[in-house]
Amino acid sequence: MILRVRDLRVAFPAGTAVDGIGFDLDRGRTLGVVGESGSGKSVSSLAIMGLHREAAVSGSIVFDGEELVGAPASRLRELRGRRIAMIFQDPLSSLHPFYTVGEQIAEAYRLHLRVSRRVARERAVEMLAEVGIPEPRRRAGEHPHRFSGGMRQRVMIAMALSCEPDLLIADEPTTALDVTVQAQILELIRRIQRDRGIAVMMITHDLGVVARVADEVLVMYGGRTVEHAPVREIFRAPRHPYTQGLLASAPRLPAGGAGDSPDPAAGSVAAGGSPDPVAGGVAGPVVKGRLRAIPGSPPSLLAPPPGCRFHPRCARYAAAPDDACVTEAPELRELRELCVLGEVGEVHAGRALRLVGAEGPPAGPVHRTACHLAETRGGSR
Amino acid sequence: MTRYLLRRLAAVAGVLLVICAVTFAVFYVLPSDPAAHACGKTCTPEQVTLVRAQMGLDRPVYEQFGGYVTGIFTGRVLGDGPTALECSVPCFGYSYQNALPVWDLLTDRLPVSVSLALGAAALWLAGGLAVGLVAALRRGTALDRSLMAATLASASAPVYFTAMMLLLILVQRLEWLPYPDYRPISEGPAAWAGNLLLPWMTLASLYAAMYARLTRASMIETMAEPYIRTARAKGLYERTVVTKHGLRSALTPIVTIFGMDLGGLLAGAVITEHVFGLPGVGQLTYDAIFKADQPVVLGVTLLAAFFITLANLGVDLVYAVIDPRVRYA
Amino acid sequence: MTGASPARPAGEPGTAPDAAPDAGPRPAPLLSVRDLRMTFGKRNGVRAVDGVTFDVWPGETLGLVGESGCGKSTTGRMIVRLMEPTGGTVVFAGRDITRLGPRDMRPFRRDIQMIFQDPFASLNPRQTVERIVSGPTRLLDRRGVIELLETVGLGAEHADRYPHEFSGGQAQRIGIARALASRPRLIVCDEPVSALDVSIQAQIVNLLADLQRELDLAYLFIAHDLSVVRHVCDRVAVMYLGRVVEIGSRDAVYNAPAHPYTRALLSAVPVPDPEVELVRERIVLPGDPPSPAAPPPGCSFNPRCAMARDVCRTEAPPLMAHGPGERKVACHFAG
Repeated sequence: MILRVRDLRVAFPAGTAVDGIGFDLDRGRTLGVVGESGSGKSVSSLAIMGLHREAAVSGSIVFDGEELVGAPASRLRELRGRRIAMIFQDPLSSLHPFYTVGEQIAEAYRLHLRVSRRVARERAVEMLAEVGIPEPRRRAGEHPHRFSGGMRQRVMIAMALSCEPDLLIADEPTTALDVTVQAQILELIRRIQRDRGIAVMMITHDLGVVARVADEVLVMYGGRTVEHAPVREIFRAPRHPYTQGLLASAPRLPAGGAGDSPDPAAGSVAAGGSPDPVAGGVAGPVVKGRLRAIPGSPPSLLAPPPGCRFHPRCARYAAAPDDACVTEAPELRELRELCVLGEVGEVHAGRALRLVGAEGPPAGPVHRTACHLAETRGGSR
Repeated sequence: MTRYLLRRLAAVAGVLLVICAVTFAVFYVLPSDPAAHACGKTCTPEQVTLVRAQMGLDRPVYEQFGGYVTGIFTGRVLGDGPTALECSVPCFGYSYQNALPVWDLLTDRLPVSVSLALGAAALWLAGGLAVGLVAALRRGTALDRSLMAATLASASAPVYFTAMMLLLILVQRLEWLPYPDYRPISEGPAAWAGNLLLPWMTLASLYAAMYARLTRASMIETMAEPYIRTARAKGLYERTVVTKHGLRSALTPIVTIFGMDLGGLLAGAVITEHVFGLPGVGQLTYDAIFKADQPVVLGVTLLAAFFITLANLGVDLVYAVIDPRVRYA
Repeated sequence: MTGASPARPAGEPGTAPDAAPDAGPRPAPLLSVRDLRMTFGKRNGVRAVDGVTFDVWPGETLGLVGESGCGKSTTGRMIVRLMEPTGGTVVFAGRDITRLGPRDMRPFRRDIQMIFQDPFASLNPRQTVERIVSGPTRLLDRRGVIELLETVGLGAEHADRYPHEFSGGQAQRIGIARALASRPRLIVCDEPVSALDVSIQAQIVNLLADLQRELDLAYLFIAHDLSVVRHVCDRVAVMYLGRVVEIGSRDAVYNAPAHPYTRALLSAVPVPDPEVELVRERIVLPGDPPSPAAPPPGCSFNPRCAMARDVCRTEAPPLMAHGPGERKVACHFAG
């Protein structure tokens, strides 16, 4: 267990941004943290980095057996960049415009490993080569504005990994990139994780990215965890109405169909103009224009709704209002199937579920959700 | 970089030539009788006739301008015969009221103004940056608020008021400093600096206040940049984050303003020099305007233009060193 | 539709009811773009848009997709005349509007409106919603504004507020209301949902679809998000480095992409389904999109293309009909 977070809270003078989240993360695994703006996903990651300066952080963050909440600032600084590294959304503004990329990579390596300038410089070149930058020696001497968006994100990754960290926090690392470049960067992060066995916390709003890289998913809403489950379960059998809504509202491409075969026969079939349902059952036939939207807007940090923060937008609450949704914050509870969990896809089709109360830390990846109404219906979407 | 430098130097030369033409037009072409203006209020008609000949006003305008410009580089003889005036390189005209070439007057006074400007600049840069930096890092605290209130007061006090207060307190009451009486640096740096300290403080208090506010704003903006977050995420010491990553970026807008301010001051701080009776270019300008000594006013104008364009060039070069993006542009 | 006059009958959004894009023989296109070009800079100019041709029929949505720097936004801006094209023509409702002066352009400015990516940047922060929606020429009275606000899912109570009081999704609704005020026939939507949260994105997509049905609008939908485009468009044009490389019906392009770039683009989009992601074959393109300042010779996609042969490095492929239907592809080896 490299990271163990319990009841993490981050309170700003204006309001509470993160209100009690918890998860475990092992080496070699990827946790996807999904949420919309204001869900508290980035704030949580900055709390783990110890980068909040004007916020009160409480709860527990145990990194490799060491409690970070309340640890002295000097200790957090030692860990940052050395054992916990982070990459950000916009690689251009996240790199200093005045220093060469080689200098910027070497800087942290020199500081943390106390090596000479020459050794650090060599390390920078080596890292640039590892993240796939051609002519690394020459390019190490160039400034960030000479690089393209994808290359800049590679530089950020090289910088983050130079000190061989145990945990990499990636905050929307591909959001600012073009889709073909995004694919390259996700591939790179996955390769590096496989090679080095590091733990990755991938923060994103893009469910597709999560599906591609994550082992486990934490869905956040209004500063709280609404659902936490292995990645296949989140997508196959989402329990929380917000997760269900999010999945239903995301437009998607035909599953598996697109671009996998340059088959001329396929071309002629489709060009015939028939509105054929797309291949693969996940997306279903496309009705032009309509998506299943979640009504309303994400809650404000300043005045979050009482009780369950999602209830003003919740279809399940609208259908069968329950006072508990308005008065009580739902606890994150484990959903454990009575029968042996066979084919995951069948579960939501109506298997009986037993609710188990919160009983300490979960032993393995289990499916937990925070909804008063979770027991009334399965997770069909 | 060399090409960039050459391009910039050519631009500076062009700007100076244009300024030269404009000032020449103002003083030689526009007045109905430039000679009378040049000679001054107390001239007799005979003297004016003589000046007219020496200025070459009977010749075509382009020839006059040509003579003026080439005079700067080669020197010239004004008029001919026994009344001819020798005006050696660089010839910026002749002050009939002082009976000296303008350049001699300027070079006489320049060391005073340069001493004043450089000393004050060092003071205000140090003070302004320090105050601005502290205020930015302690943003929102009582310290920040009181520092900003102090800079506001300091910036709004007129130079003569500040000068009087400093004289009253430091010279008359406490007797810590002598009454300023300019001593060239050749007489010893201690005497030089001791006598200039009061004018330096006066001038610096005005500029330091502005620089403090500017530094604070720029620093606050820079420290909110994502690359500062990256620097912290790398685990750098906060000291390194602030100085190496923050301050260097925050200083770029200040470099621009500093170049302009220093360039302007090198050609004389009129009020400060006047208040303390320092014999600098500012004082010379003040007297020249008072006595309508046009050749001197013309010379000072060109000198100021020269310093400001030169300072601008300096700023651009420093910029190119600081910010690599400029170099490739 | 047939006449050159931009006037329309009695304020009704005017297209014939049989104008559905796939219903039999088509009427004249509402918008015809022919060989549109935009070159920045005089010598060795950057060809941001390099000969783009397409049509938009009344009541349909044409998606214009591509990565940053492919010229899709510039194309949109030239159509609404926020930028002056350096070549080619824009024909709207049968009339060439490419070189019209400001006075002659005025009626067309009402017909062609635009919605922008950043809803806040495109709304004047000092104006109330009522003023923003009614526009500088006071197209609508208060009742008209309120009616329009209700059409886009806002209410009368929002009319006197200022943009900063709204969330991103609401601000985009205001932007849409403003665009609708002049009763346009074509709206150029430049990345209208890419700055919004996923759940809000769906609301705006649905709103645009409802409005299209009710008001018989045509959209030119510019976006980089291929999944969104698939949901809103009838036809899709894929741009790469200032050119259209593939254009056709949505199903044709998405189900059987013919250009290698389209194929790579589609395969790069992550699908929100881990099991699909596990087995899906991905084409990860090497390198970055090249700069329009120095386009590669021949087919501009050739340095990143796995299928590239010698001819691709010397000859730029023209946009040619591919298979039955209306699909066109610019590739020497279109599959």
